[in-house]
Amino acid sequence: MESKQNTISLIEDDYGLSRINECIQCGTCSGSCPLAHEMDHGPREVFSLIRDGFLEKALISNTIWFCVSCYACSSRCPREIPVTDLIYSLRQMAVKQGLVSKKIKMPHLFKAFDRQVRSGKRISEARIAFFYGLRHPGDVIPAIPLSLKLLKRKRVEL
Amino acid sequence: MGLSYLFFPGCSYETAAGYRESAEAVCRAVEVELKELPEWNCCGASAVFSLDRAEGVWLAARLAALAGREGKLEIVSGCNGCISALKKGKKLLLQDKGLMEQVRVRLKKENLKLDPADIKDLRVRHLLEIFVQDVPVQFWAKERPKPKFKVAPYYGCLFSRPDGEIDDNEHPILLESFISLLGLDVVEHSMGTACCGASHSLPHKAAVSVLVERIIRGIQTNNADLATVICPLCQFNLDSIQANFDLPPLPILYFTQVAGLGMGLPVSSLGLNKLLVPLKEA
Repeated sequence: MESKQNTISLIEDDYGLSRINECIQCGTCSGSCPLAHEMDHGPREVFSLIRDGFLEKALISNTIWFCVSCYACSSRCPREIPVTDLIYSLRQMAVKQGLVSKKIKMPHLFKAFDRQVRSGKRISEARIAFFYGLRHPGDVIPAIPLSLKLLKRKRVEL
Repeated sequence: MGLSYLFFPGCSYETAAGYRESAEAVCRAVEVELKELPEWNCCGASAVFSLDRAEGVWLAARLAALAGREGKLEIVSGCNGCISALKKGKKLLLQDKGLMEQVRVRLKKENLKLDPADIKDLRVRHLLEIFVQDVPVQFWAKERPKPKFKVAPYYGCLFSRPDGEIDDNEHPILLESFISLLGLDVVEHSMGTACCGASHSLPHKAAVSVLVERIIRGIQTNNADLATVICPLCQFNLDSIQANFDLPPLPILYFTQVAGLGMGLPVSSLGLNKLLVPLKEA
């Protein structure tokens, strides 16, 4: 049996997660999510895990990184819980607590993006793909023919 | 004298398939001036906000302060991601006085300032809103021979979400209105606000390919000749990922390119040669 590992109080936290207590577990969020089928748990289940004390399990899940920020869940939630924003909160909490599994790829893309914004104020898709590709060549090498087509159409900026 | 706006192009505008070319051609024709926001920075998109909320808010605040320096409380953009990030930043700044103070200290170092009252009044609008709501109707509705394209509108997920501030968040109609204003046929379908997969297309190509295939199939059910989009990432995913599956090719044009075609502007001025899925008649 897994021990309960909540390290925050859901009542007084910086992340707005207390809204999770309002969830009625209807599953509208998971049903609306375009990538729910790729997730370890849908958003409904993540909320349930957190409420039941399994925060760490929620934070290490791939769920919070598969969220594509389409806000379909937030738009449709009958309790008007800002589901997407809470997923963002969970991401930051996971990063802060060092609970991001190395297998999860999105944080690597986000970091490549973030680094560029901080260093030069603007980003280029090509540079992000390059730096992400150093870590995940298998994702980027197959995109080389596409990149050449884009280059030919002057759709690449370095 | 025409209309003039402060324009935040965002990082994807230059590499977008003919977005700049067509937006400039159409704006010239309808007497709209887009003045580029000087020294603009990236909005941070979902990436920065995912890793560090304060940094995401800072990026939005800096853009607002730059607009303020130009004497404007309105920023126009052509990217759903930029607009969404700016609005998110604005919301958080208004909610959190601590963040607001932090941002103001940092702005001072760049000789910029942001009045809390100004951020409250800041309007962030899509170029499509300008076209439909501000530009006099007669510019679009002139009598002229019309191309026979049947056009499917595609908003992407973020256009009016989560708050439905611009339009209905599930079933917006602004793009339908615009296509009709141009005198072109609108194709109805149910994929208008389905998500294109956004930046997940690089790490999770197979998963995103499923989303894009569903969208393209849904649009083609009702015999569209082309789809029109309002966001560079949507255009890129819908245009480039079609090569992964076997459906008839569907050209994905920016609304500004469709506007140019509808208005009879020279095809060469619309950047259509940059599309991956070509528009046959162009």
